[in-house]
Amino acid sequence: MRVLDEVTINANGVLEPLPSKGIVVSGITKTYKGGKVKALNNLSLEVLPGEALGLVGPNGAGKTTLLSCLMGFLRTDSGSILIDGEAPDALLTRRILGYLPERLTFDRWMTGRDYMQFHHELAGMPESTRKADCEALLTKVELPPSSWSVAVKKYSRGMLQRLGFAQALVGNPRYLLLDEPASGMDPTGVMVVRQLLKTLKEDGLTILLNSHQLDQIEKVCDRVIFIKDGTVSRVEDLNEKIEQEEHLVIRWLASATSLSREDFGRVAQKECLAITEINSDFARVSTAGSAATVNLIKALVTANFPISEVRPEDTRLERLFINSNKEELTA
Amino acid sequence: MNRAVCITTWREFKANKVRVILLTLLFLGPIVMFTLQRCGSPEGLNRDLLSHPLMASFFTLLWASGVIGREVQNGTIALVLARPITIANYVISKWFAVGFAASLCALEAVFCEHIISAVNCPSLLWAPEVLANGFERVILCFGTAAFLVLLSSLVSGLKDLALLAGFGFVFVLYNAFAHTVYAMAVSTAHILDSNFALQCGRMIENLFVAILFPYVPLSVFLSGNLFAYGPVISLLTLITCCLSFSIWVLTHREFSYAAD
Repeated sequence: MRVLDEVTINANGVLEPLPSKGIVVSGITKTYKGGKVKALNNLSLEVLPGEALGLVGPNGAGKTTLLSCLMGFLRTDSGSILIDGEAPDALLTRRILGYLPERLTFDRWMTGRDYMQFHHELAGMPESTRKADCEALLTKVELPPSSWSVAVKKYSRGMLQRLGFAQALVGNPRYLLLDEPASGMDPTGVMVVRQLLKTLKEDGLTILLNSHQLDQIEKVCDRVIFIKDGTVSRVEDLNEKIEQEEHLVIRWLASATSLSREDFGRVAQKECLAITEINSDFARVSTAGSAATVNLIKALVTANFPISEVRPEDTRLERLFINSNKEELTA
Repeated sequence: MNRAVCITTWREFKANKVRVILLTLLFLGPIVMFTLQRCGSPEGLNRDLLSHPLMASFFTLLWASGVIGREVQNGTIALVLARPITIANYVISKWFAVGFAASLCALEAVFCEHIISAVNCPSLLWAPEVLANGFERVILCFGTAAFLVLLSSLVSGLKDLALLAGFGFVFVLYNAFAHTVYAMAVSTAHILDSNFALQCGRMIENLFVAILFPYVPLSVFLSGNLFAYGPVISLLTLITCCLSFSIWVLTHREFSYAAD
């Protein structure tokens, strides 16, 4: 159970945390260079309490500008932003926000522990728990204890990113705004971040995740918003099952069967939209959807194909992203 | 005032080797100079040889240069202001950190200079002018710190030093111009005009001096002289105006790399 700062007294006289109201962004516009560059164009979105929302879009779409506006670093030209019913630059809002920028900068002379303790104090957390809280967070992001007392200037890119993530969690935030959290991390770091995001989501945190790693967004987020030219171009509910074309890679044990690739073609033909590549033990196929995929696997098993692997070639989000790009090109 | 911001400001200074070396030189320079002066002059043995309180301005300059500008330049200010701390609190904490640290250095320097005097002439040990000199330095440190914090909030990095140099240059230029104009007015015998020009000129000159060297002569102030309240009022005005303007500047500034 997480401890939240804002509490109210219920009818029975018991302290209860105030309910979250989520993030409401209404028609914000943000321009740079005296209005010449429009970074956000009448953008509206809502992040529900406890939800993990992914932001997807090409470079320069306005994702980082949106996060900066939510943090109160940038002032919008028009429109409004409410976080738990408060303005982004209100002190109450800053108490409940955790932020990890994409290009995090550090005071290079500080050690990892110093940095955490500095932010712990800035967040107004009690001194009595400072050391324990900071060490717990550094452990949570799996930063090796041997590096805690080393100056930040000696950290690798991945270590800096882990430290930045730990910093974002200081002060038990309700909302977590993450801009490319796994940027520059090694594969282990990427997995740590992914697991951490899942745990935080389970703990009830509201997460706004901007990432180019679509698989990460798909594994963590409930909804995803596509941003293009500073406006929301598409919203996808990732919990909702949809029937769409699937691209599969199928492998079988060629040594354990006398069936040839021609036989595979004959069996698969009925259920497949296309066979894009075929080998003696391997094929790339497209099906009309999950029902067609099930039928294809059934047909192959019935025909005694010793299937060793069936895996999707791309994720749902990748397909959506590719399709939306295709639609734009066609338009 | 925020303790974390103050302590980080001091620790950041300590981590910068160039500044520490400059601080050491600034500290030792006057001490060595006055010791040599004392050795060379027998009449100096019986009086307290203390450097001018304006030395404190140099300590403040060393501590204050880039105190906010550096954080703006490397982007660390954004994450500090993302925490529940007001900009006013941040600016006042920076001002206090600079003023306090510079005062401490200035007081240590005057204490060392006094000890050297007292070694040769023990009767000087309890000389009251040391206390007055020390207080004047502390006041000067906090006054100068307010102006330098303002300059640092206007620009990024160490560009505040350039601003200060520019301000000093304008002062020198103005001085030269004002004196020339006054000399011309006197030579053409326009007495009334020259009086008016003189008053205006002095007012602007005093304004420059009050900003660059907010010096309050404590001995005159303590003697009950009403004219001594002038520097005190201008010092308080300087601190209030500089800090308020600095807060206003930072409040209206955007801290994000998104525009890149």
